Amino acid sequence: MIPVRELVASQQAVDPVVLSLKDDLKDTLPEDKLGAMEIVVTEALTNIVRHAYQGAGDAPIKVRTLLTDAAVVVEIRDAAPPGPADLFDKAPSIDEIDPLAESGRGLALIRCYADRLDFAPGASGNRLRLEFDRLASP
Amino acid sequence: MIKAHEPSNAGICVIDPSVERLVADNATAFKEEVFALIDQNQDRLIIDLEQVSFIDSSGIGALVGLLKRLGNRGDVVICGMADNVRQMFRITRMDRVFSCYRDRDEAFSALEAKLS
Repeated sequence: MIPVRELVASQQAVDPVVLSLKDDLKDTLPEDKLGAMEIVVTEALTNIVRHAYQGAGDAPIKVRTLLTDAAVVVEIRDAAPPGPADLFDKAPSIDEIDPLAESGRGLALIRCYADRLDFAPGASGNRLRLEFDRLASP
Repeated sequence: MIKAHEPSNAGICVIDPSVERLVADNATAFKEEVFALIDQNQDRLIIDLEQVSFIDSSGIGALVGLLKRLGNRGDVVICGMADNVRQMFRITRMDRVFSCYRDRDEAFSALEAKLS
């Protein structure tokens, strides 16, 4: 069983959580999916810390991992104000982003690398569910 | 944070970010330190990513920031990318934005040839 991780909404707290999650999943996900998980969870947590938590207090962000036969599910719950329900639907694809932009790639990378995602804003916070297939990409 | 090597005779300066992960937590500091070098007229730069095993969108954004700061008055090239850093460059199309080389020697040769 993979423990639920909690982190404060600080950029410094992101990397240690991602690295420990990567270590936990190294025998569960193939290398390409492990790399995808590393990018997606890094971008998701960074996005929450940088944008969602502005003035949202100090309630922790929780990262829970579930294993199914076919996939690894990483569920991130924050205590920030509800984000737009269509946050990811409206995010540009990575090909639509100006290569000379200095920001704005995070959501696109999450969309690009997660096999499936579901974003559910709520009154007590947001839940982002990210899935990574346990089979390597063809 | 960064380690900047003395410029070569051709005025080429190699910059080692000196981090394993170029991410949101350190990307701004990295960029600001290189900006300070650019402001001291170091305008031929090799960013050696040999020690960097992971880069996120903030790290990519910082590199783009360097390119834009230099504009037409200099060059910044990349070398020493690990496989997953190279993959990130490909996905974000940075491989079309930056000239990328296998290692420091190759990057030096390419920049020197461009200057001669």
